[in-house]
Amino acid sequence: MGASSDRLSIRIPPDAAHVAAVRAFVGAVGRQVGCSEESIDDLRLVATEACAQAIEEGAARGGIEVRTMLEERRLVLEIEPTGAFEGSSVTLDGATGASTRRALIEGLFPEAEFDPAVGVLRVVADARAG
Amino acid sequence: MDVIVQTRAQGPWTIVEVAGELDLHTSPPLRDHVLELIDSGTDHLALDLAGVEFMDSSSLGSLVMCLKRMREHDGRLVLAGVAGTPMKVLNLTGLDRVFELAPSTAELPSD
Repeated sequence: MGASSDRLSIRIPPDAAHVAAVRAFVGAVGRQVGCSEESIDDLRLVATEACAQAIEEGAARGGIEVRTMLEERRLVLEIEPTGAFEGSSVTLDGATGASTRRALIEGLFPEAEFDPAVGVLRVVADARAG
Repeated sequence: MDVIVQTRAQGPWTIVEVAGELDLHTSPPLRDHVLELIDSGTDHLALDLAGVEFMDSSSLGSLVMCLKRMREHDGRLVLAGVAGTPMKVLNLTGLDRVFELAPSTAELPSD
């Protein structure tokens, strides 16, 4: 796990067995910065969905990096497939199961941002700390 | 984190108790176990999800597969004790209207 003052990150191999570690990471950071339990649950779900999609689509051959940043009492969560990212294959819809993922992510975080050029999903949750 | 699965009988129902976190990695073994039960003749099956703390859309896919298989066998599949994040996932995807839900295994339909 990498760390600076308000930034933390974890990188996992593109293997479903490691996604639980991402959930644990996101949960620990969320509690540390004072997110509500509901927000933490939502962040864990979004992180899981994004990782699962990258793994299923084979878009994260170099692994998946999950970053958290504390910005003005808000926790920013970014999930980025790394390595040989193939932008055309990782959208939030258009593949089996992907539309369900999109509905989930947008249902939980209507302001979620997805950059198809680099495959980064970014969501923001309120944090009491910071 | 592994998922713990235990199977027991309760009247006409076969109950599969599940505990842990269901995701892309952990749901396939559960799916395979349930499909095996259905294919071996179980026609009243309740998945007790009260001990499931987390469930993602991959797990939903596994549950939908089980439901389809059960319907092919003219059987009945009930999700019992769904709460928290798993219930939120069901609600957001609209699958709460597709699955038959029971508050707990103590309140399964009697027929």
